[in-house]
Amino acid sequence: MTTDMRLEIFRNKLLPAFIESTRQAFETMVFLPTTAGEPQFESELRPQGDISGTIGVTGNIALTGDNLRGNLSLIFPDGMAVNLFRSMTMMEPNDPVNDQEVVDAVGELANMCAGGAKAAMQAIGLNFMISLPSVVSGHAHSLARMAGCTTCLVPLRNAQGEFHMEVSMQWK
Amino acid sequence: MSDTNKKILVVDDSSTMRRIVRSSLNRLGYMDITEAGNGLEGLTKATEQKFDCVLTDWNMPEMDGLELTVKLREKPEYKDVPIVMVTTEGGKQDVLEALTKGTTSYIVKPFTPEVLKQKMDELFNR
Repeated sequence: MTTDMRLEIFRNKLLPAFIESTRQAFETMVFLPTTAGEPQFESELRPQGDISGTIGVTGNIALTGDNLRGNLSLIFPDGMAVNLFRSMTMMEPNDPVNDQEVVDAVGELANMCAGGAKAAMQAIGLNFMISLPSVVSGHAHSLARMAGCTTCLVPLRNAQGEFHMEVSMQWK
Repeated sequence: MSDTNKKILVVDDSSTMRRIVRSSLNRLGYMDITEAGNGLEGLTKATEQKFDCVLTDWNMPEMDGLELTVKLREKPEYKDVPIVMVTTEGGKQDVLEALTKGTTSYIVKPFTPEVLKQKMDELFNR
């Protein structure tokens, strides 16, 4: 498969599936309608977050036999994830939340955003598996990008503010 | 035993998901809820006491939900107990595999409280 065909699959199949599953996860589980901005391929922008959740993805395209691997990350700014956790669990706005609860919630959100795309992708012949989530916490951190990957940054917005989804894929 | 007295085991490595499922079940009137953080812990708790229903995640460390289902089905006391997979693994092949291995029913994350209510109503013929 040519590089252009791979990029087309990324742009027109993989990415829309991830964006839609993310939108559904936030609307259904966090009760926050969320909209996606324009995807930015190979953006120089490295969004800084205070907490981020990443899911590894491996898979193949049944039709061509091409293998791919990559990851999906959700990157949240200061304070946002706490409010998302409160919304998910239907807590009051000022209810106390401990750090571990927020870490868990971010991991679970990343899990749902990646996993939710699986059914849609299977339907078009893209079979993949997802890893358990990993979560990074630290003020104004940015995520390193895997060498050799095509990366797309997607700004997302809801009533709690703006955050980012970053999807990286490498074809083998 | 009325439905609201049913003993339910919720198995998920995410404490957030356990909390969401527990509070949703509580709102439906199911108050006797036990939580486990992975399949192994769930199996231990299911061995210590008999549950009327098991809701389990699929992807978990130590033991996943599929292996938990298989091991529970090996126990005579869990032969007919409803086991519901609550998971992001929503592809047709995944659902088929889970049903083949003994899962009674399936809820795909993300899900609304209404979906959980409908599933519990189906399981207990409410």
